[in-house]
Amino acid sequence: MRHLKLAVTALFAALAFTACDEDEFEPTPAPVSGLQGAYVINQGNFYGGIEGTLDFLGFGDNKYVRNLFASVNGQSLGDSPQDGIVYGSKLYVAMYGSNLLWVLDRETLEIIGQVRVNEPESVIAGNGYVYVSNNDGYVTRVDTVTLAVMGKLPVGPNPAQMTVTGGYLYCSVSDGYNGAGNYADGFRVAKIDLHRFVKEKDITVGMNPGPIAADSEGNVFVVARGNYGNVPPKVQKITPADQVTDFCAASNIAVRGTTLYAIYNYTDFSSYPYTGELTYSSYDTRTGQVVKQQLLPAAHLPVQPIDIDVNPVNGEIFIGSEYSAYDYNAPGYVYRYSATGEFMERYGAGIHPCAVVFK
Amino acid sequence: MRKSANLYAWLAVAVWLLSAGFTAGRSQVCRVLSDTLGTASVTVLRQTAVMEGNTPAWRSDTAAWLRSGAGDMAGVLSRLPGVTLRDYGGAGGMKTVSVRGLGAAHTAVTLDGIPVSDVRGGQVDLGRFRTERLSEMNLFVAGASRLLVAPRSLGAATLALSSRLPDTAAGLHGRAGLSVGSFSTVSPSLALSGRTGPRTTLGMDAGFFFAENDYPYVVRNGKLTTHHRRNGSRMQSWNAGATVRHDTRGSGTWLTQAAWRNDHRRLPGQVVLYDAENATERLAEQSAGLQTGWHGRRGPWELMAAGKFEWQESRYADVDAQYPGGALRQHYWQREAYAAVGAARHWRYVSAAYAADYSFHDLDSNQPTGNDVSRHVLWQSLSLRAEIRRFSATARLLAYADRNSNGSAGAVAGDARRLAPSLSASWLALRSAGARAWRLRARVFWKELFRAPTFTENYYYHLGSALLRPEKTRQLGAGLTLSAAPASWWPALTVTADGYLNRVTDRITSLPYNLYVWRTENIGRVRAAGMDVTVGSCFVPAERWRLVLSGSYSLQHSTDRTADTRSYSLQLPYMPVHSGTAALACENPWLNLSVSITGASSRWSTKEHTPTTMLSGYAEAGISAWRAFRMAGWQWEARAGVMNVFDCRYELVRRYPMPGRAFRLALTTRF
Repeated sequence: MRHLKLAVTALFAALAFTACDEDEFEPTPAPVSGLQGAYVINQGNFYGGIEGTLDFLGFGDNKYVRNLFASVNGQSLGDSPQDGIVYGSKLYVAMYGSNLLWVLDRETLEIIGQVRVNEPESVIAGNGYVYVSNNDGYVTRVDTVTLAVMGKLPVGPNPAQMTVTGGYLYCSVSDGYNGAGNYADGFRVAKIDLHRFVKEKDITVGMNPGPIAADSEGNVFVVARGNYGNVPPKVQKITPADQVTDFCAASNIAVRGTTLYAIYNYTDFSSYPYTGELTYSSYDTRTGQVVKQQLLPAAHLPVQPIDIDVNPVNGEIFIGSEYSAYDYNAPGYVYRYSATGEFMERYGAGIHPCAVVFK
Repeated sequence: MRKSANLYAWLAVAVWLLSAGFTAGRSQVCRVLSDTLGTASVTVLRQTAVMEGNTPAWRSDTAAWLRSGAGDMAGVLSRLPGVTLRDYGGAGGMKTVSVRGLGAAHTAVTLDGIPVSDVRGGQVDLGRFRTERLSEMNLFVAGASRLLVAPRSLGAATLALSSRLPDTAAGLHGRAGLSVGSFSTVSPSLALSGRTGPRTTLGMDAGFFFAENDYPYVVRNGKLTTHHRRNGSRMQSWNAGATVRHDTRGSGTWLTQAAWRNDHRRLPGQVVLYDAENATERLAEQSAGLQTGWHGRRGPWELMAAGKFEWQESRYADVDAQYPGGALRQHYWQREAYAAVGAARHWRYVSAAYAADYSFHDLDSNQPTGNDVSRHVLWQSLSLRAEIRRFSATARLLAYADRNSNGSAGAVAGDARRLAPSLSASWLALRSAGARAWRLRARVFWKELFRAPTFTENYYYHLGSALLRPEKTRQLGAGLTLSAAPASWWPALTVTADGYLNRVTDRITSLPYNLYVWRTENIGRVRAAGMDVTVGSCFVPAERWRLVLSGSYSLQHSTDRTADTRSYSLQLPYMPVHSGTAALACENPWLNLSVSITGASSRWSTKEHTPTTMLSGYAEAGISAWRAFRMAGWQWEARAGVMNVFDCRYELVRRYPMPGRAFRLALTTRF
């Protein structure tokens, strides 16, 4: 009888917490991210048998702690982390190889739970939920309280990254595993109504879309990565009215306010010897004009950039880099620059630092 | 775990020291002339090949495999000195060997003297051979001991496999076997042979192998220890063959063999943290081939001719919604035509040989690039040998030329021409005759060789390069062989010690430019220095009793010497600095027994020695028992074995766990 009471109590308690309809649930206002520090996600090298790690950089004491997840939890982060986001009191980390989404305490990094999701590529939050893009063709909605999967929406082959603005989630659909077929089933960004969690439309963009970000005006910027050959990468701008125009040449981007920070790292692999170009610039998202042509100082350039993130609080630029060109087994670096591009510091990170998540 | 595994490794070394040594040519010292079925009753011994040749050659046969406790191909290979076995675990896992730090693609494999190749990937999966179908294995590192051989069989190292040949006795003969083991392993086989003419024998054989391979393994992840099973590792294989042996007039033998093989296996992939095995990968392979070879002597002349045609199909699938169409499918079809001729002339002190072989390799696939490529290859060899009293020297010059074509999109690989010289010499430094005979032979060799890029390295989508040059090797080695018959109760002792210094230049290395695009270039350099020590001994404490002790120890410093890299001077991935094996067999009238141990020191899975990629040392012990007997007029042999007795958990390839303790029972009859 005592067990029955406990079970009934637990059932009601669970029901109370699972009421996640958007009309009933409003998340606790999230603390501002970017004040305390940044988590650095290091992907490792799955095929080299090297698991990923999670580091932390404290902005207060400028202390960089390697492999904090393992120190706190006494176990490995897992295989092929790809992306992360701080939302509410939690940190969510998308583990592509391990097929799960870690849910961690934002402050302590202790494990709160895990959500089984297929091949998570990226993670983003909005409207009280966390969303995961799955490389097998879906966007998955996860309840932030019960950590239950609330739905899966088919969006197309190899969805890559996501951004949220104006009540919509934009997910780049790359068909990235179909290079031999010229990524024919990609060329689009899926526009998803967050309120109803339905795909409203596909917006046609360039070849092999990947990184995507939104500015404060509701514009979305997506990198069409091309084919690593004779189709170079470019950034396209999607207006709130879904008009698509070419914006600039870049292979990776980050946006803060109305400034777009761009890395143009292009090598033409179609003929040997290869020719390539690597530049860092910033643009005004409203006009497309260059704000700074040479954003970073030549004396302190990242060796081989992987990722760019901008602190939403102060505009500081963080770039993850390999240890050296084409070295996927060596601990890489995180470079830190001021909002105007002055070099601040280089931190020794883990292998393949692929995302910086601000706390 | 690491501590305990290292402890096992040290224990292994200690056992080796206590047991006075390791072997290689091991079992040969006490080698029995008859087949293993008569092991306990036959005591005829003969000297081992390793003691007589001027080049180091390690030889083992079915009797040696029994005594060493080697239950399968991986067990046999792991007991060869200087060999690094790369094994992806279980019966279905791919097995390749690299010798003395040179890389598996430098190991030539022959079956009955005719080269076996995989020009697509360059590495022959030795898991395709079943020990039940083999009678003998020789490993040459300084060239074949025979002067007249097919040039293509002269790799930087050569693993020469010999088939079980049909019984030449009159009447119908057969051999039937059934082997069962842990993890739902079952393997029946049947071979029949009969004389169809005064000098012609026909043999036919067929076999089946099935293994669920669902062995347990443990994942240790910090404070977590989880137990799993290798669920996606099932394998089944069918094989059938026919052999015609025809003894030509005079001296010479034609051997013609047809073989067919069909494998289906699930590939479990590497162990993933926090995730169950998805087992989405499948590999189906089949091959059919016909080969014929003749080797004979006519007076001072020695002649050879060989031909072969082989067709191979490989169908790989990874069923996963992330791929276009819901699966990644890679299908390959290879065809190889091969012909070889050669002649040798023997004078009193000098012999000379010339041989040439031609092969045509063709690869089709469903891949976007390199889907219709081919290569014509011509090898020629000129060999000279002088044997004067106690001195023997051999010089060879190999000439290579290839011509490539590419009917698919993309560039065609460049044609290559190369010359490769080699020299070897041996000197019987000391010799005593009589009841307590003993010999000491010194050997030295120098050899230059190369390997052509594989089709994968040339053409694979977003990886291959048509600009690759052959990868070059230079080998220098010297060694001693001491053989003795110290006493009537101690009829055989062989000790070999070989040191070597190898260099690889223009090493073909694949580099990632990003996650999707790789590039393969000739940029690597390797230096391998080491030594192999083997000991084999036989004791006869009483009539019909025999103790056979064998062991080997290899010290191997194989380091990356590519300039301006973080891996410079670091030990190559998966190459243990120390490795060894030891076995003690007791043969007696009742039940033959053997205990064995194989081990290696820690290794790295990455060339940069990235933290967390170190594989702990291991030592795996085994025991086996066997007995031959007659029943119902037939000759029988029963075997039982326990592999990995102490259930050591280890990996030869990172994230591919090896099986723990396993059992095997086998029954064979011959009629």
